[in-house]
Amino acid sequence: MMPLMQKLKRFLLSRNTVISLICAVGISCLVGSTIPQITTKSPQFFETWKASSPRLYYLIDFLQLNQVYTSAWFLILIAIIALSLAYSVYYQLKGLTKSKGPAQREITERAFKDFFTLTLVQGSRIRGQRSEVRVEELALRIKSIFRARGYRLYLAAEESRYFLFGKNRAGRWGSAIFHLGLLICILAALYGLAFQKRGFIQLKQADTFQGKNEDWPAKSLGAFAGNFDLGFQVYLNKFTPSYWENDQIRNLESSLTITDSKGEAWKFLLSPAGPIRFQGIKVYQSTHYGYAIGFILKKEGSEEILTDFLLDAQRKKDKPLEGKMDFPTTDYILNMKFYPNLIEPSFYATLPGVDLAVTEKEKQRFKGRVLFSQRARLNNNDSLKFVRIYYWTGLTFVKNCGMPLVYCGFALSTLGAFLIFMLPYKQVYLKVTEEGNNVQISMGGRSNRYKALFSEEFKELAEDLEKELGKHGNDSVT
Amino acid sequence: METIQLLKYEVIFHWIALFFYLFSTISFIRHVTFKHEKSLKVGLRLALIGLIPHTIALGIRWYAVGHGPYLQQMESFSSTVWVSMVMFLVCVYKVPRLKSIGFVILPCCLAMMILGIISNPWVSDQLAQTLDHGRLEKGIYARTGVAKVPPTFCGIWFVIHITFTVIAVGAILISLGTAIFYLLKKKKGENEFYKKLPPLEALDAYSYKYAGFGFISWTIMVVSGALWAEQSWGRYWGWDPIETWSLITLLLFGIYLHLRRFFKWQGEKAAWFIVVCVIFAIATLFIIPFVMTTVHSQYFL
Repeated sequence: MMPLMQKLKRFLLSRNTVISLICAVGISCLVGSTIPQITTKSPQFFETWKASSPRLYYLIDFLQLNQVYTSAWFLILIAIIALSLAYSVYYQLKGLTKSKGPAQREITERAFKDFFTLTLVQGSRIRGQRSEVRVEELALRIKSIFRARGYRLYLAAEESRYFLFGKNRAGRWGSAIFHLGLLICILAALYGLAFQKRGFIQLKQADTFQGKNEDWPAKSLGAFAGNFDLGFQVYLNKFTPSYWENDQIRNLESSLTITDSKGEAWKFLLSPAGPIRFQGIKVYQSTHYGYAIGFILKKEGSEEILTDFLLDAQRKKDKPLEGKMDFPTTDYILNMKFYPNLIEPSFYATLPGVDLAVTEKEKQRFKGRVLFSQRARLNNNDSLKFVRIYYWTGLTFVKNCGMPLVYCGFALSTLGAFLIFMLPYKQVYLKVTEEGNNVQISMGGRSNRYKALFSEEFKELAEDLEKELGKHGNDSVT
Repeated sequence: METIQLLKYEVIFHWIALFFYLFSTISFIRHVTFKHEKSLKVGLRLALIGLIPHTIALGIRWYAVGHGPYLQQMESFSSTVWVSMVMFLVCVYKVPRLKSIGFVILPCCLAMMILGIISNPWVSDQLAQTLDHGRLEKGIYARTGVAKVPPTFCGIWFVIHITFTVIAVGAILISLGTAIFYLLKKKKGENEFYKKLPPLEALDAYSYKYAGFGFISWTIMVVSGALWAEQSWGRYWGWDPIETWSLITLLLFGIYLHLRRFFKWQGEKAAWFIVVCVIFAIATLFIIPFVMTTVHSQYFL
């Protein structure tokens, strides 16, 4: 068992595996954005494709390339990445928390020598005549030089003969934090795939949505989400669209009354900028809206049938709302072009009318303009009366308990990326030795990023030290 | 002052800035091609002076249309150029040895500026029609082709999303500039002109540093965009083409950074990889919205 785990660990942490996994996700995304996906194209599109090139279609369908992001192989890929990240984060954090840090190290000559055996970016030696310069005074000056350049003293030992300065120590955590953030994001996404509940409704003004699982006209549920019962009712009191001077939508506002299971009513104002949260469910104002226009069909010898037709608003407010729909329980097909204001193009219903064409089994029964409250007489003695106009609006309901995880993952990955690239960890080691009348300073340093740039900074530090030593020592500095 | 009058001034200032950037570009090209030292100073000064009318133009537009310069093609291009120019000038102020990278950045900025001005409806046919026929009754916004803010364009995440998009472009352009000069210096290292540039290792490190900064900005852009989408539409990721291509670019930067770290891909290989990353970034921001149906193209008018 152990060798297998060891092998798995080695595989998941291998550099080649990491690069291959990133490449695999990138290629999957490229495939997903170039091959038409079933979530973005209509079933008719795929039927046409299947008919025109069946072999290619079957191959793509078999490999699930037309549903990349929900395919089994993509989910397996993501699971492997999550596992690789988990291992990586675990070992990184273990390494970071286990190391005692320079301040806690045993301060001995040998330990200090060990530091010098680490990757030395740049080395330099500075010598000065000791004369009246005491080592203690020199130590103070060294500290001030480093402090001026943003370095902190992590360690001073053996009567100020050894120093360890460091900068951006938090930068060491960057990689671990970034990868932890990514891992959390992936886990949150997988949680969403499993448990997220999402439903969309089109609600007419003065209408109630009961919130039962079977009432949703469109919903998408996670694999283990079960039913989506809201547990409350939603009533649309009023919907108010407003427009800019150039006819673009300015705002959409829904006044809702939500009644919970105990019968208590709550009033809310919903807009795209301000979703509302009620009993763990977030409600979003959709940008889909329009008019619901109602007709009463009077058939000879039968009861009147009242039906509302939901027409989508156009992007510009002066455009008529169009729709072609069946009249339920009949063979009539209504082709409508609704003008909220027949005098002046506007979205607001001041003088509404509809250009109506009614066909029955491909025979035209009526064609003409019907004003509000007027009756259209069909040529088979039936009639349609234009009786009501309401606004309707789309509302989206989402329950995703994984959102805090998403926020947390995003915050950590951003913080991690910042720490990695903006705060590279730098260390400079100094050793002060006295040889006869001379004081000798040996320097070494390292950085975990941008080594060439650190090397330049290191040289500048050495120059500063030379100047300082030259200023206070009475002899020239070599 | 009337909005229409303000927009007229905005266009004039944009043109003035464009000419400064054009001459600055010519100076940088002269500097690198003919090794003309004086042209470097001239190019930098022209770029700096061009920033003044550009700032005024953006300020006027912001004031006149009532929203930041991020909604329409011309606004996006113009603000991206402005941020890239500021970042370039700050960069060369901090590291004067990198002045020559203007040879790469200025032409990119100039191209974006030209695309921005061409895509301004005011500059194109609407202006001519409006002025010729005096169709004042249509309303100033219709005549000038100004887009107004849709209801979903609000909130702090949206502001962060936009800000870091343009910052990411600026950082990536600087990284590209240093990478290209790395390649040039490597090829013509014996030339006196290239000896004045930072050493190859330093150029490589600067390219890495700015790629890293671009990576952070791009990450923040993607993250804030996701959070904005969650606030507006109730989903933080929808595999929209722009989202997907942003992720592809981010992954490409991830590959670059991993290759550098683990496979010691430095120097020439890394420089060429940065060129590929920049091509993907440019494609994501400025080509995909036009060739694929995306929620972004709905607003990137």
